[in-house]
Amino acid sequence: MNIFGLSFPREYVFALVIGLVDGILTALTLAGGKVINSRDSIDIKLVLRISMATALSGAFIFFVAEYVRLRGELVHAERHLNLTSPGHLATTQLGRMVFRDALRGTAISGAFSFLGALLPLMSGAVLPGPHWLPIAVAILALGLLGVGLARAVYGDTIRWTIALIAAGILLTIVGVKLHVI
Amino acid sequence: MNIRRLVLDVDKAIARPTLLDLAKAIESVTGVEGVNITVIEIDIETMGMDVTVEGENIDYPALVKAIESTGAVVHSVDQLAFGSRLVERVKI
Repeated sequence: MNIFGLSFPREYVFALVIGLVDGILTALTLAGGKVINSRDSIDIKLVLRISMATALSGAFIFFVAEYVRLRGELVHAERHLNLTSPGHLATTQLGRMVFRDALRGTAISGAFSFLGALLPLMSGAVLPGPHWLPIAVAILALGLLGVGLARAVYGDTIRWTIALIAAGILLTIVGVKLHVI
Repeated sequence: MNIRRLVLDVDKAIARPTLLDLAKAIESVTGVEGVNITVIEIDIETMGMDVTVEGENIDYPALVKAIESTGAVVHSVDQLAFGSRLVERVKI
């Protein structure tokens, strides 16, 4: 699949997109209150802590969901192959294969979740500018991601962009109201 | 018994294992010298194949185990040729 001219293997696109979107949105929710309500720029240690927390929780959620999905596929295949012993395919190489695939997806998702949270927030820590710069960068990143994804799936660019930007704004408002940090 | 040729009816799920995974597993079995995997049927979820294996003293239990370890399923043995030379099927 091509996103902004970069070619990604189809099986990794799901992990990449979910990681990136989760990273940016979680960062907005966690740091939204701190960034908007505080006049000071966000510090690097806090950025790293938020990014790490986002990546770890995102990776764990991804692993559980993906492994269950892949094991469910094996159960589904067993029925179609008329296997009488449930769980048989999980004991074959397929069981190990889906476990490795889930781990690989988790690593990709976690890494992109970390980057998705880190890059926008870090802009507020290292670049000069208004205190709300990280929020603007995060929402801009979501918009750009919307453009890339819309092109990759031949969707409506405006709708995808607006949807992702709206999600970013909504979760920033939630973050400001909750004031998690 | 010197098994020289086996034709097996094998099914697998569409997505996994790949034909290459299956071929690698079969090739690793003692006595196997050549393999042909021909897809004969595809439906939404499964793929049916004729797997032809030739060689000398093919280890049949190990062959079935190797195929099933990949996640494919052996449904039946459709042809078996064994002995000191290979005998083709004679149609009458």
